[in-house]
Amino acid sequence: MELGLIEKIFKYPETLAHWIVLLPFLSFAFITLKLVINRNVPLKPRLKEKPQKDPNLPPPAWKSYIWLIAVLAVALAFLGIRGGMREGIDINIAGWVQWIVGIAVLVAVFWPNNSRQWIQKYGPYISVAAIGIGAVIATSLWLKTVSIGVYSNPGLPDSAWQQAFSYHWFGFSDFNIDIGLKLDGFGVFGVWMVTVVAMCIQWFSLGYMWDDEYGRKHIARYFAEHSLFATGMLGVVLSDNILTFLIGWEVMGLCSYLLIGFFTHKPSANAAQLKAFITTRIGDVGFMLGIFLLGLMYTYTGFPISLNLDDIQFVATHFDWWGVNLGWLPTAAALLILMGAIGKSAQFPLHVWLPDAMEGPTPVSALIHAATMVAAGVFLVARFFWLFELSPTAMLTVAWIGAITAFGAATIGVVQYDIKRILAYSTISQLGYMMIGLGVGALSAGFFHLLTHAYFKGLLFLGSGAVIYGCRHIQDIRYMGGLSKKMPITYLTFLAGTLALAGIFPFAGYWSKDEILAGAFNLAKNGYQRYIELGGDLYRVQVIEPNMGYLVIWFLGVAGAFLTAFYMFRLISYVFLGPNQNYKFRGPQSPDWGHHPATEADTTAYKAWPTPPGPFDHDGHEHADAEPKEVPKSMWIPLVILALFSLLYGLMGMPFMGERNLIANFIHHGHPHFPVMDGLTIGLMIFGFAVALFGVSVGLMINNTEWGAAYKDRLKEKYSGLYRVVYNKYYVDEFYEEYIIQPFFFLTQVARTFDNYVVDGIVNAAGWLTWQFARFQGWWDNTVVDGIVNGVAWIVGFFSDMVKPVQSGYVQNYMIVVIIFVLFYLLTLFVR
Amino acid sequence: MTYPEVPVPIHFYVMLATLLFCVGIYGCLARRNAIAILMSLELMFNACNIILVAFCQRHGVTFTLQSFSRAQDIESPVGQIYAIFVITIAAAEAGVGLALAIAAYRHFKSINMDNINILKW
Repeated sequence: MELGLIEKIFKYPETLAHWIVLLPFLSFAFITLKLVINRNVPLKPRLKEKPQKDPNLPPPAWKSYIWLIAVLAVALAFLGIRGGMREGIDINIAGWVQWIVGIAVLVAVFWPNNSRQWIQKYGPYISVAAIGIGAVIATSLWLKTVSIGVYSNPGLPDSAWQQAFSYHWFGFSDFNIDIGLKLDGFGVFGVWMVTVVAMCIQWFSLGYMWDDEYGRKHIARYFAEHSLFATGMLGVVLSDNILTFLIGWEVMGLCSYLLIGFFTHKPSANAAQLKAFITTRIGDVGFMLGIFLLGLMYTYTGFPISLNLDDIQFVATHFDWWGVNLGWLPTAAALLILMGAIGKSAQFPLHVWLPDAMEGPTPVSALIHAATMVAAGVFLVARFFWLFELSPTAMLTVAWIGAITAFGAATIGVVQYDIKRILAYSTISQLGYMMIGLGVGALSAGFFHLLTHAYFKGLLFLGSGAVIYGCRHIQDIRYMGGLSKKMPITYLTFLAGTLALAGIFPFAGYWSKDEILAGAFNLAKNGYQRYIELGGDLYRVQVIEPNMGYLVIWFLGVAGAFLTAFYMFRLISYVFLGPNQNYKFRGPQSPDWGHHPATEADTTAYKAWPTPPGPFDHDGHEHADAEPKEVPKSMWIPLVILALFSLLYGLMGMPFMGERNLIANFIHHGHPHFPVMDGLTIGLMIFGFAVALFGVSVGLMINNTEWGAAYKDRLKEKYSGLYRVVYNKYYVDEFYEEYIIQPFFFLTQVARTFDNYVVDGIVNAAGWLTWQFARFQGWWDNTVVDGIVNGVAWIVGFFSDMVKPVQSGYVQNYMIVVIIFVLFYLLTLFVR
Repeated sequence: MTYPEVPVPIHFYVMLATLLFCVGIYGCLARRNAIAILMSLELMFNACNIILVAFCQRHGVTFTLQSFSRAQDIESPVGQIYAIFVITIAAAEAGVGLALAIAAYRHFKSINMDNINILKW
């Protein structure tokens, strides 16, 4: 049986699943290599009209046939692959990857157009195409998963799928590393989300980065890093083992560093990239320690050590089933792994990097906040949910951290004025919701919120990017307004995202957030049970006892939901409704600076840019097209795609779908748990909707009506202390500055002093002593040793001086001596 | 008239040889001319020859030489043989000495022994 590529994509997408990861990586490798190889070739100014070639001149011989060589190579490759398939030869994918990477290198090296222009022009399209093909494969994969899973099998045929991709990488003795793909519900839904959102973001970036002067110059680098970022997240999502999971995780850390600091000329961006990297690194230390603890667990067993997630889960959970007490091990491992998730997902103690990460280009913020970076932390907890399940402490920690983050970040979002910062705090808040969902045991709800949030937060960030694009890089919402007429498509799509985020029926966020809150309520009412299947029987283990105190988690979630709806519609009313306040924009020195006292946070955006932003050029003259304008088609099509997802995606997880609930069907651990529609659930749904509507109406009123604004001002006066605290983000940054960074600096000072005076003192003293000893030794050598040697020589010389006149050189002298001695001898003969 | 054959007393020979030897020593030590020194050496050789021959004749060993049919008593001629050896060697020595003298002359343009003293410390 032969299958064409298109047929294969739609019939057997699982055989192409690895390409979802590989294609972005290849595009990254290609663009990077091209940039590196041509790094010394200067950018030539583009000529408006190409010089006409002389038709009489023959083309260079080898150049005219390069297309033939390329076609032949591609045809040969296809023939080889198809022939191998026809013969039933198992084609070694890894081997092919090496070949293809090699060919990419060769193409990059020998491509006849030896300038950076080519890659600057086409690199972005290569990148978008790579992730787009991945999106097609992922969509097909999702379709197949859903159709098989719902209509023929209760679950996924994942074991059969996964075996096809397990590839022995390397190993020694009984330690083997098999890498492969894990195409379970998490993987398939996750990979679909990541590819679609990343594709939309890259598509949007084409226009957005081209609009920026610096971005246009570095657009190929931008897309290379973007592709690598997507690769990292896809690796995390699809990995079936800890090793490639960790590789993808760290690649994401690197790429977040690179992309947040994309504007290398901005000191604030440099600070932000360092902050993001170091903060997540603190969490990663915990993650790694957690992995080491899991490895320690293996030492209790006779199993050969494996890095496979399924194997680790099998060993850990079977310990529990066999009645072996693992003691502190699951709790410690889970809490350490949670540290990694906290760092990556910007949860409460380590959330400080995320608002600063707004220094990157807006599409980068979209990528970090929607599809990749922050989702990875939640994904980690979801992947290791079996571990958290073993320890009530770990689960409750997750839930409480989530609740604190969800509520606290929402309160901060209420008082911000930077459009991107509001969205950043809403991201932190929504991630808190996901953590609540996972912590209270509503795994499918938490993961569902991760998916819906990715779509609508990607949409919101791209929408804010469109607003910033339209307003010429103004980010302060006080100087926007009335954009709904100027940018209608952006407005409608942004509104869709906002409604989803606020939790308005029937947008995606409503379903997921409501299920999380229902889960939190359920924790207080019923606690959390874990299911164990032994010998075909299902046993239930009560992990967390019901406790009405957990209603606080639920309440914090509800309050956060209200605040979310409130600040999002405050944002809408500032940006899109009301009069256009762009005229206010006259820079920080202007008396028109607004009725709020200008703070440092307000002016950050202006300081950060080298030129005064806004509708004025460098000389202060107004642009001809100073009015906000709608974004071009290449930028609003991704917005529309994401808006459709924000509208429709939630329908998959409607609680009254019963067994057809796609989310509950595939996103689960152990046995699927379908939501039951009882009176309480319906009441909670209505309650959640009412809270969201209340927040929406307050948010619209507080800015768009006179009495609302007056009331707001009065409230601000009355609770000015609280306002200041919240405005300053609860002084968490200042707390870290005061109690961690400064003590750390103090410690470094102490260490430097110690180093300068004690260590250097010891070293210098040792040096001084050596010097002195060397001086003594030199004296000893010069005086005593040389004295002895010279003395011996002198003595020898002295005596030789005494004796040497005997040897006068006159033969007759010697003769006299001989004769004298002979006579003396004769005398001795006679005198006896 | 015939005189009885009275042997010359041995101390005559010894005295003659001693005198001759002392003259040779004196010549060796006192003369500055290399040729003269060689001549003095010859005197000392000859004093020795006189002693050898004289003592061999007076105190020589008599032994029986056994021939084919008869035995014959003869005196040992060892002293004379030694004297001839010495004369031969003295001739060779004189040749070497004269060659040395010529070489020294070529080198120093002189055969004055006071000038030839470079072989020293």
